[in-house]
Parts: sequence; C-alpha cells; structure tokens
Amino acid sequence: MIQKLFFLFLLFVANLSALEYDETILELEAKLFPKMILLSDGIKKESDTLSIYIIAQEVDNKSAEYFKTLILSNYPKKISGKKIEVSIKEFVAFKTKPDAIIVLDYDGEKLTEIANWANTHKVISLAYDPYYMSYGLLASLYIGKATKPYLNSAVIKKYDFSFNPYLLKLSKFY
Amino acid sequence: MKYTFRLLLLTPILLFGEAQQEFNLLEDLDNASQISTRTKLNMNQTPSVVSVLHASELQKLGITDVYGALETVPGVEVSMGIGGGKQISMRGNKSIVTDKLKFMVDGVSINAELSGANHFYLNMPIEQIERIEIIRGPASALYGSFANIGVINIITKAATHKKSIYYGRFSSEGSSNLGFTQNVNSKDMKIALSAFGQKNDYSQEYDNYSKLPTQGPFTSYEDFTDSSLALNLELYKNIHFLSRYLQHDTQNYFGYGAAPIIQDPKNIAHTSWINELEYTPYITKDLSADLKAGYKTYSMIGEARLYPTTLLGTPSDFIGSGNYKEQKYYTDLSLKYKLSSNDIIMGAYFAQTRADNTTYYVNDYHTPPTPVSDKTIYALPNGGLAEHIKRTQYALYLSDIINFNEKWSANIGLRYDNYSDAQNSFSPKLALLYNLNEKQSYKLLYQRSFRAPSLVEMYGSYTPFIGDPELHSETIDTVEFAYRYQRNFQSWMGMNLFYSQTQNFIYRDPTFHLKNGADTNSYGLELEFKQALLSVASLQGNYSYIDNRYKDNSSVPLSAKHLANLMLSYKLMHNFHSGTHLRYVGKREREESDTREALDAYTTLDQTFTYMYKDISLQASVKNIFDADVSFVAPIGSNGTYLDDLAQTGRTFWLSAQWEFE
Repeated sequence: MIQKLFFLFLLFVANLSALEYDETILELEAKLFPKMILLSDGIKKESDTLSIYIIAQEVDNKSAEYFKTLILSNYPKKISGKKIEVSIKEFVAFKTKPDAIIVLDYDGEKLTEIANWANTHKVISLAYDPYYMSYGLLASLYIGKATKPYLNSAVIKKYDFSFNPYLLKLSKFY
Repeated sequence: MKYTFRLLLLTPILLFGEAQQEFNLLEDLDNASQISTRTKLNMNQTPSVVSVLHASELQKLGITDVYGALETVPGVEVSMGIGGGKQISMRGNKSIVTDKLKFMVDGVSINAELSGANHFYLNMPIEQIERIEIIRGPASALYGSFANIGVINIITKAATHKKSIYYGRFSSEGSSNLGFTQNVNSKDMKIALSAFGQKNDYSQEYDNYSKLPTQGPFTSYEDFTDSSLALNLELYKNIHFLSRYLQHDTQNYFGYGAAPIIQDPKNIAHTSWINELEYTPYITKDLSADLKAGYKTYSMIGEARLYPTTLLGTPSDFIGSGNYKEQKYYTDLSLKYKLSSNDIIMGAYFAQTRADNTTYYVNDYHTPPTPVSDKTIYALPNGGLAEHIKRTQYALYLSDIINFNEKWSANIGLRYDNYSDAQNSFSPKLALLYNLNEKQSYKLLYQRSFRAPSLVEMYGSYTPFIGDPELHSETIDTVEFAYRYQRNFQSWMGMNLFYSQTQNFIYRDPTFHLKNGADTNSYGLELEFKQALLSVASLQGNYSYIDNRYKDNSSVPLSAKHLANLMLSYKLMHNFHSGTHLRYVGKREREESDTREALDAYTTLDQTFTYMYKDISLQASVKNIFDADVSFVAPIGSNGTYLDDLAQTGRTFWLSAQWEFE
C-alpha cells in the first residue's frame, strides 16, 4: 500500500518536470541546422551575421546551453560570409526577428503558438523533434536508414518559404 | 534571346553547384547517417532487436554499474551465483557453468576462452560509460561464438573522446568508488586516459545451511576490489588504439560448491588485459575497410577455501590454489561496400589462444594440522586441464542489407567458424523489415547461433569440471517478430515475440562431468514503452514473459518467468532531477531435486535525486527503499545448499559527486 501511494505521489510530482534530450541528436542538429538555415532563400544576403534563437523552457536551460555550445563549436568562424550568433530565449512574440529559431520541448498548444508566430513573420523554425512539425514548425531532421533534412511541405506552400534546390534535393518532405 | 534562355536554364544548376561546394551538406548527412547507425538512433531500421541504454539517463535513475543497467532491459535477469560470479539470464537462458553472452568494451570482446567469463566487467561504474548497446537474442551471424544468447557492447566515455569526468561514490554498505576519464584532444590526435578503483567491504552473517552439523552462524564475505586503467587513442580519425587493464579481486561469496566459509576467505584475482589496433580507411567513396589486430590475456590466480572442516568432518578445511593464464592473438579484416540498394559487409577473422603452465594444488585436509598456506601437498597434473592448450580459429562472414524500397528491406547473413579443436559451425541469419510509415516498423527475424565449448568444458580434468573433448557446440535457433511504434524521440512502444530451440546444451552432471543434452524450447513476449507524460515527464517501462521448457515439457528452473521495470525520470527544477526505478522479478522455480518452495517474487523501488551546479553533479540515492527481501536462488550442490538462498543487501544509501566537462 505504501509503495502504491509513494508511486502515485511520484506521478503527481512528475507533472512539474521536463524532458531529457538525446545528446547525439543535439550534436547532429547542431551541425546540420545552421547549413539548412543558410540554404533558405529568406536569409538576408547583405547581413554578416546569422541570428538564431534557441527557444526553450527555463527547466531546459542546461540542454539549451549545451546545444548552443555545440553550434558555436561547429561554426567558430564565418560560414557563407556570416558569423553565427546564438541566443537562448523563452518564447514571447519577439519584437526583433531572428533569422531562425530552433525549438526545444513545449506542449502542443505552445508549439502551435510558436509555429504561427514564426510562419507569419517568415522566420525559419526548426524543431528538435520532427514530431513538432505536426504543430506547424517548418523543418527538422529525419533519422531513418539515412539522415536527411525534413521539410514541412504544407507550411512551405502555405507561407511561401523557398529553399535552395540543393537542399530540396537532399530533403525528405513531411 | 537564345543565350538568355540558356543562361536562365543554367542558373539553378550553377547555384546548386555553388551551394554544394560551399556547404558540403551531403558529406555532413553521410556522416550523420553513420553516427545514427553506429549509435542505434535509427534502431527501427536495424535488422536485430536492440536496446540502447544511455548512461546519463541511467545515472539519474540511480543505476551505478553495468550489472544494474542490464536489469532495466526486457528479458534480462541478473543474479549472482555461488562464488560471487555474476550471472546474466537473457530470455530464460542462463549462464551457469560458462558465460554465454558476447561482452564487448568499446567493440572489443572481453570473453575469456577458459569459461567465456565476463562477469568481472559487470561492476564497471556507470560514470565511465557513455552508452550500452544490447542485442537481445542470438547474433552469431556477425559476432560468432559467445553471441549465443545476446551481445552487450559498452561504449565508454573514453572512446567517444567528448567529455572528461572525475567522480567519487560511497555507499552505506561499505563500498567506495573513485575514477576519472580525461580527454586530451588536438586536431589530428585524441587521447583519453581513464581509470577507476572500487572496493566493496560488505559481508553478512548467515545461519542456515542444510548440512552443517551445527547450525552455527557464519559469515559470507562479499568483498571485492576492482582496479582498471585504460588508454583510448584516435589518430587522423581512422586509426584507433585501445588498451584496457582490469583486475578484479574477489572473495568466495557464499563459498564454492555451495559450501559456506567459516573462517577467513581466500582471494582470487581475475585479470583481463585487452589491446586492439584498428584502421578504418576509405578505399573509395563507397568502399571502406576495417582492419583490426589485437592481443589479450586473461588470468586467474589465487586460493579458495572450498569446504569447511565442519562440513567434511575432517581436521582441516579443504583449500584449492591455482594459476591459469591464457593469451589470445587475433585479426579481423572486413570490407564495407555501400551500393545504391545494398550495404554489404564481408570479413575474415583469425584467432589463436594458448594456455600453458596451468597449476592447481590442493592441501591434505585429512591430516591435521594442515596449514592453510600449505598448498604444495597435491599438485594436480597440468593444473586440472590438458597439458598444452592451443585453440586456432578462423571465420568467414558476410552480411548484406538489401533496401528494396523505402518500406521494405532485408538482411541476409552467414558466418562460418572453424575451430582446430571443436565442432565447426554455420550461423545463418535472415531478416525482413517493413516500415509501414515513419512511425511504425515490423521485423521478422530468423537466426542460428552457436557457442563452442569453452576450454574448461573440453579440457577440465578434475572436480568440479571434468571436460570432454568430444563435446558438440551448443546451438540456438530463434524466430522472432518485432513491432515498434515511434511517435517521436521521447514516446515509443515496442512488442517482440520470440521462439527459440536450443540443441546440445552443455550441462554438468552430478559427478561433475560435462555433457551435451537437455535441449530446451522457449517462447516469450517482450513489451516496452517510453512515454512523455503531458509533455513534461518521461515514463519508461517494460514487461517480459518467458516460458522455457525441456523436451519433456518440464520447466527450466532458476529463472523468473515474469520480469518488469518502470522508470520515471523528471526535473523538478532546471538543476534538480529526480529518478525512480521500480523493478519486479517473478518467482523462480527450483531444480527437480530441490523440494523447497519456489523462491518468492520481489519488488524493489529505488529513488535518486540529482543536483547540478554548472559542471558539478551531486547525487543521493536510496536503493530498495522498502527493504524488500531480495534473494537469488541457491542451487543444490553435492553438499546441500543455503536453505534461505543467497540473500542480497537490503535498503542501501549512497552519495556521489562528479565533475564532468567538455
């Protein structure tokens, strides 16, 4: 009986918690996401920086920091003439638009809100988990027999995003 | 106009080429695919039933070593036998006389040929480990002998060359553990040095043994110490060198032959030293080679108090003392060829094992007073083995993964193993994989695996192992069907049904002779899931049912039919984590000759809290919170057994601190 009560207590407490992130997936995404962003036609050619926000809940700060470190260590120098700048933010309707956002874990309602904001402001949104694309995020990473960029074709069409043909050729479509 | 049109037509091609040159995304994706396959991220696509345990997650659940980690895998039961040898039962197939799992550290097999032994690596601390990859079920088509009931591959932090760690852990039962992994990385060379030492001072009073003339209390000494040092080296990304040394000093827990130890126990040291050089060049873009050469040794030296005077009715205890050492050289050369729809691996393996100058002495326990240290009274010829043991082995193997289309793929594998002193074996494998969509996949697998008789099973000449050079290899044929539904990275479920037949099972009869026989049939079900609850918590669980029977339909004893785990992982705050592990082990049936009731089922609950401050983590844990009665089955030996079985430690507290950094 005591065991049952204790377990129920733990289930209750669990509602306050957050997810674990797979470090290998974070490593793959840290390498591939910046290149996917740069192959979008919406990136301003004249700017010498590429601004990326990692959108994360406060409880996920440690994972977000790790992700940021991975991106910056992969691209310490300029790529395609741009220096990558990464910031960690909790989601609000940002006044200053970044070039892209990378979204870590949120509940479905919040993911929909983030996706709507990103799509209407033509900000490229990349999801840690491809499943989040079902809430309207633009892209993620497909891990199957081969690893591929994963693009949300419905969002591309609806919000008129366009990408370099090189990326389109290598991608899988959701 | 015509030129303008041509220019317009060429523009995307030029842009395409420019992007290709600048970003080289294709190469990054190829690398990512290799990493995904190597780390089993795409396990839906692998032609085996695989579990991957990430040490960072296990640690937060309070798992402290490999032994504990394996408990979380469906169908795996861990226990400890007499003599303190740790035992792994996978799908009801238990290692009793010899270990039947292929056990690898950083891809290098550590099984000793003497008895297939690997138990001394099961104490490896979780802090040293990055992940553990487990193939549940036979896998000889690629991995050869020992991969009879499964394959366990421990990938250490040192092998990944990413994170360095320093740690210490102490428990209320008297164990202490210190260790580190330190990486030094430059552009072309990565070096990782790792070491650990651990000591367990635990012993417990025992007072119920079936044949002692007086039921006086005695002590089971469960002391052990482990010392390990390893070097992992990577040069130019395609040259790897590993050297790992481990010494495991142990007392004879519960006594050998199920006889209790009354006085001071003796010490036996198991030493394993593995060395491997690997070169993995790309010959062309699609063709790569994997060339391995290795040298490893295993030795066992020490004394054991075998029977007490009170049991034998003799003036002195019966003491055995021995020295065994084997050396093995091997090469493994394989080619990997990637075609548009085929992934082909073909390879050849060659190994030679030698064991010479084995010694074994026993004292004269009939003549009082025989000093314990007097071990030169009876020297057994050739140390209880054949005089010069030399085993030469070669193997040829082929595996082809055929990708018919996005949905269908198959794997055909075949391995031929030739032994100079044992039966040759063919190990075929057929697998059919169907991906209904990105979320759902099905697998149908058939595989035959084998285990060549170990050296002690063939060449043992003295009690308790009287071998037979004519023994056949054990074989196991398995058919399994697996289904997996993966909703996202954090939520998935799987189901696996299997049926196995073992032939030529090697067993030890009451006169200590090793024989073939006792074939079994087993079938079972494994269910597992991981679920993100309300998008904020992670609950993971599994259940397995195993029915393992002899040909006469009687149940194979000593293993549980029902096993289950439930693991809850959550962060209370960004720097404060809680992990809970609930484990159920069903009742275990006795041997036919054992009239005792079946050993009761038990449930344990462990709770662990982790506090993180920057790179430092502090952990506090209590294992077996409700102090459940956890006992392993004590089998019937020639002198009786422990009536109350092999009791394990109850509620235990431990604390740890670690500093982990890039």
